[in-house]
Amino acid sequence: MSRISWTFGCFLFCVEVLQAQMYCKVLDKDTKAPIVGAMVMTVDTKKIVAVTDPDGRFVLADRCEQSLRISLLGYQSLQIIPEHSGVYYLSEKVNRLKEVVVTAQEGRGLSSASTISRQAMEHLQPSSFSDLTELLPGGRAHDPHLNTPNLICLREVPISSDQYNTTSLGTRFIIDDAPISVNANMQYLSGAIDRTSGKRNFANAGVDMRTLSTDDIQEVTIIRGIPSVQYGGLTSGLVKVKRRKGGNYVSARFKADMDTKLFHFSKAFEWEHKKLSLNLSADYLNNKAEPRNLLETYQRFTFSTRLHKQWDTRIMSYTGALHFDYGGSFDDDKVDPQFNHGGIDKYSSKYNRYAAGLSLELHSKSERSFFKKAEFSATFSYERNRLERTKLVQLDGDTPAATTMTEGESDAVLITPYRYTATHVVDGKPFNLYLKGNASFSAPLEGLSNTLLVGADYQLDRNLGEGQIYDRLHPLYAGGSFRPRRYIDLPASQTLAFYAEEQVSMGIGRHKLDVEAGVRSETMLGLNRRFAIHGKFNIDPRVNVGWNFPALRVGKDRMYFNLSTGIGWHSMFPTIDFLYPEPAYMDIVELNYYHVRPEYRRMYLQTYVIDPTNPLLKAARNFKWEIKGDVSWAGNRLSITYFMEDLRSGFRSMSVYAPYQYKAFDASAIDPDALLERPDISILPYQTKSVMRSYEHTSNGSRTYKKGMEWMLSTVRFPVINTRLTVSGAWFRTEYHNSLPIMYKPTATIGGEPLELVGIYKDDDGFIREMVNTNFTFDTTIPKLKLGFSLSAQCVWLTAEQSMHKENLPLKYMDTDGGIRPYTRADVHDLRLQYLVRNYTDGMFLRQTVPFCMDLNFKATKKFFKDKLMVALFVNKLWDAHPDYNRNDFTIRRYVTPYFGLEMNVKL
Amino acid sequence: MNKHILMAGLKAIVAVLTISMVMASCNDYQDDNHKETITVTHHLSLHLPLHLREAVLTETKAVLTNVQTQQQYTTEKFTFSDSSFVTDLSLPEGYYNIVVTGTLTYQVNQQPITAKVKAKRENVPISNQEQKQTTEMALNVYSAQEGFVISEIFFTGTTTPDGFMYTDDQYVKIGNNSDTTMYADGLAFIESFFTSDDKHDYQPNIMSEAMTISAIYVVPGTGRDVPVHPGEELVIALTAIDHSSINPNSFDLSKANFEIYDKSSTLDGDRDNLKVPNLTNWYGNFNGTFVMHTRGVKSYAIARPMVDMQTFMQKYRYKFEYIFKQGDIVVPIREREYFIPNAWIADAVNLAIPTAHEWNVLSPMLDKGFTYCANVNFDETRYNKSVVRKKEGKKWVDTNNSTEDFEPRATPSMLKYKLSQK
Repeated sequence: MSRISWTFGCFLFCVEVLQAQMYCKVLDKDTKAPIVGAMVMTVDTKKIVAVTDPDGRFVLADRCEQSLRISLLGYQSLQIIPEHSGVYYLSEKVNRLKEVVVTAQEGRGLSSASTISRQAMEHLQPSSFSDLTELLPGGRAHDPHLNTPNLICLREVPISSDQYNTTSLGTRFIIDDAPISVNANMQYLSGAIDRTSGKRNFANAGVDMRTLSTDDIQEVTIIRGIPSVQYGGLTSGLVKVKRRKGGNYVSARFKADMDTKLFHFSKAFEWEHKKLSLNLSADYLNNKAEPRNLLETYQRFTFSTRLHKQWDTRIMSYTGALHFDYGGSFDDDKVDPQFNHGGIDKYSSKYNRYAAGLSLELHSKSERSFFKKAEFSATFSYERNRLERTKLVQLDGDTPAATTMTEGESDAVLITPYRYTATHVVDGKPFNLYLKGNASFSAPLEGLSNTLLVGADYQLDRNLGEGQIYDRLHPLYAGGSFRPRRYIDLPASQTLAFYAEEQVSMGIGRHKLDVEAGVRSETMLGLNRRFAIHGKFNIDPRVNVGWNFPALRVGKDRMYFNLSTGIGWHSMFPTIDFLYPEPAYMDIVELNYYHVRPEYRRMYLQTYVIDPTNPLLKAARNFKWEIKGDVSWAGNRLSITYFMEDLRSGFRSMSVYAPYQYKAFDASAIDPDALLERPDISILPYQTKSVMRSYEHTSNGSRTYKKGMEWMLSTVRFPVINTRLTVSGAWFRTEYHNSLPIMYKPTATIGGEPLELVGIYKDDDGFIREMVNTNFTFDTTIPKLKLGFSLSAQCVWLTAEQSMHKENLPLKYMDTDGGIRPYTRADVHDLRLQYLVRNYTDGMFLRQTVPFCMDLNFKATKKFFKDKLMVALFVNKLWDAHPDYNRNDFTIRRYVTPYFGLEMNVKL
Repeated sequence: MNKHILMAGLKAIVAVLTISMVMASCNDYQDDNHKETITVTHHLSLHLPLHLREAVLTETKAVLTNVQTQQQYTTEKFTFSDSSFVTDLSLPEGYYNIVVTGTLTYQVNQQPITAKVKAKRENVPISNQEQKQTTEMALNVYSAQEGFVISEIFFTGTTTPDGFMYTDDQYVKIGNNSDTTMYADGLAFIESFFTSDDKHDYQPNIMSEAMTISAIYVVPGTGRDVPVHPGEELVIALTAIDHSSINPNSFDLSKANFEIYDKSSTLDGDRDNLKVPNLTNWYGNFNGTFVMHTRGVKSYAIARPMVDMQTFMQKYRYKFEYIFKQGDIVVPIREREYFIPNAWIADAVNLAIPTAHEWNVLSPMLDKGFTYCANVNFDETRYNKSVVRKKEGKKWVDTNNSTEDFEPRATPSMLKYKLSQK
């Protein structure tokens, strides 16, 4: 690496020869960390002549001898006469280390982001990462539901439909540079119809936030807006987690709330002179969704080791990090055999994730080098996931087993005995490799802070599991047309991306302009040619621009105004399961001949095997733009963001119907008493018939259109009462649309025959959800008593929901001959076609609102024994206001019950 | 519940009239014996059932039979006047048995319904005396299959030796409660769509004139194929096989008279015992296999449809709306099902769970009460139990009140028979 920097050094030298310049640096007085974005302006005209870059550096023309002021929001301004290689220290107005912030803070970057600090988490007392989402604009405290997966939904009012999971799937979680990949998660029971299995299925839906412990986290940044182009494989947002590093301590935490117990232990070693640190931590969580029910449990076990080392040479500083993590997540649910006639009925889902990562960072120490920084990281994860469902099955009679794996006619194998214990296992072993490398360069241009980032990343996902395993002769869901399937036979998914981004900051008169513009190009490798996305690149441009107005003096302090806006595209390729779906099997009964003597019974099947692969499937792509205004004055800050997001190509699974031909054998001529063997298929008369069956087809048919406003006001801590007020809230309006025609088959039996007709309706499946909320948080710290407490009034002003108007009449219909015909008015009176008229009423499409409600949540922390022991408690919904309201002449009463917990932290 | 559509008010009027006439006739009896036969003009007035809309009476025929001479006087000329159909006829003084028959058309759910009506009075005195110049009769609609009753509904199913529910052995029994041999051809077995544990204000409300159904199965035949002798029963099995080979706690239904078989091409489809004839399905609001509601919240009835299947399927659809409420969800719902005019119904039985009973889904003229197997909702003890119509002598009790007429939580007759064979 040193050779590269040496080359750049040479290049720089050339630049220097051409133009003599002054290089100066601005650092934080306390932390000695570089200060980015500080404005260097002339004292008299207040014209900005330079802006500091991420290294705190600014460049001036040589022989600039006028008096300059270095100023940045939150820091005391400093007046200087610049000199060659001058280093200037700014001191903070308020000591950030002493300042306690218990809420999320709006980021200072160009894109809208929420930053949650360790202190905020200590005050919040979370059990898992999902509890942190309360702190986001639009968030509020919810009782934890740890018996089902917790998915993230940023900037939206969620709906309970798995057709719109692209938001949660498209929110990327990055822990210390290592992404959590869910591309190969296929832990679902195929054919499952029970709620026990269904409610825990989160395949193709993103990261389960239950599995993430918060105790190791130093800081979380949730980018709601437009992230840097170095982050890909996302559509909706980015969660960046920075874990704790260094220190010399032993800490332990014990938390208990109404359903959950949590233990955390961590040990940190730091050898400062060697610039080496080691952090070890372990965490255990035990949850019972209903404390009186010992049979439904959730457990989490995590373990983490992180090693950091820094080396320094004359021109370079190297940082190396190595981490090893284990995360275990275990769901168990059983039915007491006493309530199940002695039969087994249990569900167990185990996730074991092993991850290792190595990262290396190089920083150039040379002030004048073009090359600034390079990062390389390799992350590897392997999961051993096992879902097991065991149940006693009691059949009502002869049921065929779905055994044939190929298309054609066959004799059905009847399941015997009628009573058996079935086990269905889903063995998934997702494997992920992620490689990333990038470098930053900066040209020393006078008055212009600039950074160019170029890089590439590669991701490989594969599932090495055995997949859906069960005994075909004793299936868990008898009567279903599913087959075992090996995941290891599926191809890997590989994505390769390149990106380049330029960051520029400059003064324009007394104003400051920040521009961050980049482009990311992503492609899938190793993909079969039949896919439309084979060899295609997704090009995602993203731009964020900020404008700082000159500060105004209001009273004793300056008021700063900042306006920023961003626009960007975000693409995410389909998961392995979307690209390579399970084949659909259609088992059609051609003959079901019953005879008193079991050996004379015969069931004959026609099986069709359909490959539901959608070769036209493409990446889901989200377009976002936002505009953010920010005003700061005397330690008070107000920021308001308006955003719009349009994800038109979200993943969706739709039923595709088609007629499937079969022979309907007629056994009525057989005299059962004269039969000497089972009926001979070859001599039986039959009628060729067709049945309308469907399979699920994944496409880009879901649109999620979001708009809204997010606001955050935080005041200074008022003296005497030592209280700060934080007002955060949001207005979200989310529209969920389907963009594909809908096929629907009415259920009816007419004249002894099942109705085989499919209506094709307009793509009018859609929902609008709206919400306005504001949380008023008063937090008080009394340093003398080491006591902190907060009261949060979480108000939801309004929630509204509306369904899109649906047409009752189909546009077209498909009959068993496969023909698609237009549906006419006259068809409403046809004996069969009348059933295609759907029954929606206008009243179903009215906007329905739920009025105001408020919860009052209380939290307190108290430290003892020189901060070695901290005790904390929280009571959510300590008091609430949920007034009754009327809907369609019915009075709706609402009630909530408090939720509370207590915890103890020891830090030695 | 042998069906007599008769309003309570009308009943009272007729009762008072009858009593007064009987009392009057007692006094006059002796005088009449000594007199010559005199021809008098008599006014006959027919009242229609009050709840029927736009009712028109046609093919009306009144036959008056002189008790002493057995001479019959017939008239078919009726005129409509002041909400009743009237006629005047001249006939000799005396005591008469009067039988009126006719065809009534009226509207249910904007659909013209045709039903048979009848009225019968015996020993009516006819003379010149003022009280004896006029006879008023209330007409009743009646089903052509009147006389058939549902004698048992086994809807809960049995349990396996491990205690799991087994529903394939559900069955219904239909008995001939008349004194003559009747034919079950064309008789339909129907299931209500509404449930007794979930009351809604369904609009338009047609319950006083019709039953809303979710399935209809008709006994095949040309009219004289399925004779049922007085006191005999037909067994209709959902699956007519010997269930004891699958579930030792169950019984043999392979000798059932009829089977309810639903064609299907799915793996979990219905089985057909070719030795037992199938009922003809007209309509079911499901795909797959018909199963009776095992919690026992639907009503079942037997009816004689007066139209063919094609007409029924196109004209007897009932579109209704109601407000659905659950938690904070309050939405107007529209549904489309079929209706059977009460006039076609020979017998109907309400099923309910006493502790979860919200309403009866049939007109009280069909069934004033309800019967049950479950004491509470989702009662695990309901299995292996049936509702069986009580008997008085050789006749089944039929007061159109299943609370009185049925034995709830009874041992299924098939199980009783199986145990008696051992």
